[in-house]
Amino acid sequence: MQCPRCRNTDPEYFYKGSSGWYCRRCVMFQRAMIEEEENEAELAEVQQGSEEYTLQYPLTPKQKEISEQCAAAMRTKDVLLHCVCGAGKTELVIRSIAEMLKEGKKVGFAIPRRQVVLELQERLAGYFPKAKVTAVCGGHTEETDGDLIICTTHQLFRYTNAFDLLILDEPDAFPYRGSDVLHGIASTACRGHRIYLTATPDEEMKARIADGTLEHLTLYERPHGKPLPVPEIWVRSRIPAFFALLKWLFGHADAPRMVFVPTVRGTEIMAFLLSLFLPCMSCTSRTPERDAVMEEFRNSKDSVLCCTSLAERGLTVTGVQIAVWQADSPVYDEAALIQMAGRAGRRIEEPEGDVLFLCLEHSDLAQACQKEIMEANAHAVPSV
Amino acid sequence: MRCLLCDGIKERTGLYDALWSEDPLCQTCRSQWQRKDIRFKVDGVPLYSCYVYNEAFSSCLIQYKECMDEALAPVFLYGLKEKLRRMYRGYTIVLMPSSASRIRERGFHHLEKIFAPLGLPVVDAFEKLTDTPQKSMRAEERENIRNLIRLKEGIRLPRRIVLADDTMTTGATIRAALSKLDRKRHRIRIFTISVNPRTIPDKLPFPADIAIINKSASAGKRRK
Repeated sequence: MQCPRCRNTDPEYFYKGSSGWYCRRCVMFQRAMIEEEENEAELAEVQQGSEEYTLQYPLTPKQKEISEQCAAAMRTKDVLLHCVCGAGKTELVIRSIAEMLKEGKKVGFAIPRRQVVLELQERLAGYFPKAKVTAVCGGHTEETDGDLIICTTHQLFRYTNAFDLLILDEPDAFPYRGSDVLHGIASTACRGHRIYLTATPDEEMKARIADGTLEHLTLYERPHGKPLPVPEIWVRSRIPAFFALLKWLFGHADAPRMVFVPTVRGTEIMAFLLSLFLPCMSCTSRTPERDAVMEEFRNSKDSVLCCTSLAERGLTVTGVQIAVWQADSPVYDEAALIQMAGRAGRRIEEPEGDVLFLCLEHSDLAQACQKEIMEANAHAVPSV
Repeated sequence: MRCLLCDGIKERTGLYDALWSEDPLCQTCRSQWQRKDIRFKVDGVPLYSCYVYNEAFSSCLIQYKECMDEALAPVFLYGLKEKLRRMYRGYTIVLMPSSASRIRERGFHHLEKIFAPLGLPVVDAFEKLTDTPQKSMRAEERENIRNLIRLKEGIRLPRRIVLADDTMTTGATIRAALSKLDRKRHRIRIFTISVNPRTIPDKLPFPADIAIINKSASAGKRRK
């Protein structure tokens, strides 16, 4: 017995109800009966001419090369685009998307976080002025069809066998990572090949690269050619660390600054303590109007944002400076640290930024992260 | 054995767990449900309820009703069956209406599935004339439900009945059902598995037509 939607075969998850067997592993996406074939999603044909695109910035020669390789490789097998944070992963797949759209094939773009879906929808709608780019996520589910569909990973359950190309952004992040249900649903949604975009591939992907079932393309260089900001590591005990952070914040008073804190409770406390000294915003999963706070932070030139790893991926703020409080916390893994450090210096106008890891004790992880970033910088073409 | 909600392996931690507990939920999930004996009157008819409708309860109910997860049926009355059987001995359970199309879609009547194991006679006496779910309505619109439900034709109800529902939010459905019944002919009780915390009387002042009888308060008055 196999679930037609999440590909589950574990008998423990099957339950016999009054109308037959169903799978309980993916039941939160509505019951999928075992005997019934999943109804294929009914989607309109791709519009003619929707493949025309214009990029905001022209691609660098290096980017162009990777993007061509990617467009060629995704026809025959799955592709992993392993690029450092801020290398312009989205721009690299534009060519592949356009090629598929030209042949009248559906393309899906799945992202773990809701905020990023909305942000990316705007960006891609700008790149593809003639195509209908639809964002599908919690709160935006009235319209589910388009030429290019951008959705959260959870919304993929709507699209059985719908996509000829599925792009999975950050597959090593929560909630996709380690979730068998979402893995199953993603493979049901896609009848063609997949492109994975990440800066930090996990073990599973490394294993697939070794098998040869996954094409591995790497880009260690940001479009502006400047090296990645290398994090500084400061080890202090709690109270000195707080004052060190404060001093650091005052030292960068003319730029937007982000302080990452491991826990939600800690973020609230940190935001309160910092607000005694300087104006400070906070954003956690419990903040009711997250989008508004993020928007405000993005627009302001010199404010401080306290947040949890909620904002760890997919956020671009011009000239932002990054501090990570308690970078030795077990909450963070290496991927999370690299992603947080990668928030800095993403814009061409402001290619540099400071990254500070504050640790309460010596941490191998923070050092491994520092080393990894330095290695990536060494791999990049030494243009500086 | 696995917990039905969080999918974790149920740990048999305590002696009670190991020997007697047959709860399909793990302790972590169960402890998020707020157990509380709630008693008050709706239009003069005594209501009893045992959970506060909080987020955990609501998400479980949604998984059961909207995602049609039939396996969750025994979760709702776990540990309450004996008590309910005693309380409502000699009564017939009358289920609150659910739209026919939803029942067809689910393949089961969600309330019947919950209340059948009690061993009391169960009658699905009402029918709903519309398919609009109530959660999409505002409070004033909900009052309108009086015109949208009716007793099925040819059903004869026994003298003692208990109206049963999964949750009470504004009480509109229950009052509508009461208005269809002849109170002189029937001895009526109400049981809902949960009550919306805003509707529980000892928290906030209550709409005038729902009489408040807080059990302890009424006991105090009697003593005076």
